[in-house]
Formats: sequence, structure tokens, C-alpha cells
Amino acid sequence: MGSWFSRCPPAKEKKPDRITDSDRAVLDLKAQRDQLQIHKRKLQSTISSDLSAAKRFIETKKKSLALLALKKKKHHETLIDQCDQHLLKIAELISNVEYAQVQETLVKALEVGNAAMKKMQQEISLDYVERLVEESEEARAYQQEVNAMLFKDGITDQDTDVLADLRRIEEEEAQAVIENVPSPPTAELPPAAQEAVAAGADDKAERARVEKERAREPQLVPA
Amino acid sequence: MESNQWSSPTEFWDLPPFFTIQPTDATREKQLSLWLQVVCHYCRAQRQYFIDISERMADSAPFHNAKAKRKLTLDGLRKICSYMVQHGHGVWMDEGQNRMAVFWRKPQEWAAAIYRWASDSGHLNSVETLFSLREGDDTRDQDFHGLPHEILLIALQALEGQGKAQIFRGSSSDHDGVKFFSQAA
Repeated sequence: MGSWFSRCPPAKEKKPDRITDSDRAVLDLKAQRDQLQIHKRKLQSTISSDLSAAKRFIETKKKSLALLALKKKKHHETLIDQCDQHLLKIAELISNVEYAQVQETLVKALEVGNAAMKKMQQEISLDYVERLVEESEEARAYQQEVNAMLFKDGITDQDTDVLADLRRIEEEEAQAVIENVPSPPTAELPPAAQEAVAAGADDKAERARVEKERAREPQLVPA
Repeated sequence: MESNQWSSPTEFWDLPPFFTIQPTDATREKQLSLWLQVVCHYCRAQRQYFIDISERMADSAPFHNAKAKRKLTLDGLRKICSYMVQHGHGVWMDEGQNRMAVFWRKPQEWAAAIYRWASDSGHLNSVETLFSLREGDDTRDQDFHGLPHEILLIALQALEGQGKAQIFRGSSSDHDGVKFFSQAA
């Protein structure tokens, strides 16, 4: 234990301690569990040596010693049973403590959530909401009043004069559209364009050429 | 040791000159880097974690090759170990530099493996004893199971340096424990 301790100084000095008392308690419990496990291992190895001793005594016809060894073995076996019982208890305790830790963080989270909720509720007071609702109700009523007044002045969907007016304007508009439609061309197509149409040429170069020709003779293309 | 079950990662191990530290700088550098591979490979295969600068060590594989009828001198063994320490594959355990911990995986790699296990098995934000990391049933199928206390401690110190864990002692016992954190402080 020397050089590597000096090379890596303990990080605890610069970092905040993030270990709580309950962490230490859990560590103590787990260390106890480890001790029990070590003890159990020791007992298990004693049992196997008890057994081999008993066999040796039987071979050498030392019956009483063999019985003693077997008694020891039985005793050690009951100790192992006890060990297992303790291990079970300690495991239960550990998981209870760890579960309690989880619950603690859960409660803390609930607390934070609750506080946030309260704060937001304080900002939006009931009076304020009531006022808002009232105001929007007033605005709606006002709007209805305006509507009622307008209807009273006679501008309704059923007003025949107005409807007739509307129809007249629509017809005029339609007439204007019809007059503006260009008349179909009367002149012959230029010979190049005719060829193109006959050949059904659809390659771009051809079309470009035709268009160029048309541009040269604009008088042939009616507006 | 059971050298017959192990085969060297380099054929140089069967050549007699490999067991004499070479005088030319460039050759020696190459030789030592090969020795580093050999030692790491052997220790990984045998799950060996320490090398003593002793005759007993020099007499056993991988420092002794019965087929080539060659073995390293203590000085050669020391040179190899120093080279490994220089390159982060080992650390001296004592002032007198007679015992070296072999890092056939570097401490950062052990640290990453331990943290991965802690994360996968739901041990983040909880406490574990160093003993149960080394020998507990939970880590039985992990590569770091059986890691000696000293090397485990170095690996955990690496995690501590990254703020991913904290090593501490219990209130009533002097057993080392570690708490893993889900995020660095």
C-alpha cells in the first residue's frame, strides 16, 4: 500500500460528499451480509473436512471418533441453517431500507410538483378567471346586440331588392368574362410548325426551333 | 504454473534471445512491448493479478520457457515490469518495487465495465460493498468478478475521479463501500 495511494489522491477533498446517513446504514447492513456469507463459506469448508475426518476414522476402526466427527458435522450444518436464516432476514431489511430510500425520493418529487402547482394556481386566481369569463360573456352579448341592430335595419338574406342587385352584378361579370375570351386562330400554321405537328416531334430541339420561327413571323400567330 | 495450457501470442516467446534484455535501444523497445503483450495475455488467461520480482516468479511461465530452455533474470523481470508500469499496464504495490499489480485491462476499462454493470443491474444511486463486487453472487458472471481488492479500489477511484461513484466507509464498520451515481456531480 504505497505508491498508488500517493499517485491518486482521494477525490473526496475536492468533491462534495454525496453520501447520506442512510447510505452508510445500508453499507453497514451489506457489510454484515458479507460477513455472514464469509462465515457460511467457512462452515461449509469445515463440514467437508468433518466428513473426510469421519471417513478416515471409520477406515481406521475408530468408531467413537467417527461419530464425534459426524456430530460436529451436524452441528455445523445447523449453524449454516441459522446463517441462511440471518442472511434472509438481513436481505429483507436491506431491500426494505432501499425501498424506503426510493420512496423518500418519490415523496420529494411529489413535494416539488405540488409546490409548482400551488405557485401556478396563485398566479391564476379564481377572481381573475371569473372576471375573464365575465368579460368574454359581456363581449359576446355586445356582439349579439350589434347583430340585432343590423337586422333591424333590414339587411337580411331575404331582402329581394338586394338579391336582385346581386344577380345583376353577377351577370355583368359573367358577360365581361365571355367577351374577353380570345377568338380561335383563323390563319394557317407556318409550314415548319405544320411539319412538326405532322411528325408529332416532341423532342425539345425541334420544338425550340419551331418556336424560334414563330417568333420571327409574329404576324402569323393571332393574339 | 500451467504453461502447457497457454500459448504465447507471439512466436518470439520461443526464441532464446527473447529472454535476454536487448542492449540496442530500438530492439529493446520492441522486445519490451512484446513482453508486455505476453504478460498481459498470460495473466488474463490465468486470471493472475500480481507479479512478484522473485526467483519463483522468474522460474514460472511466462518468464520461463522450458522448450527454449530459457528464463528471465530478476533484472530482466524488473525491466519488463517497469516498462508495463510506464505504459499504464501495471502499478507498483510497494515502495521497494517488488510487487506489481498487472493491469491486463487498464483501470479505466475495469471502471467502465463496473459502471456498465451497475447501470444495467439497477445499482445506480445505491450502495454496494467492495466485497460483494468482488465476490458477490450478483457479479458472478462479470469479468471483474474475483478482482483483487487493491485493483478494484484503483478502478473505483478512476470512477470517483469521473464523479460517477464515491468510495466511503460505514458508520459502525470499517468496510469499504461504494455508491454509484447516475450522473457526475
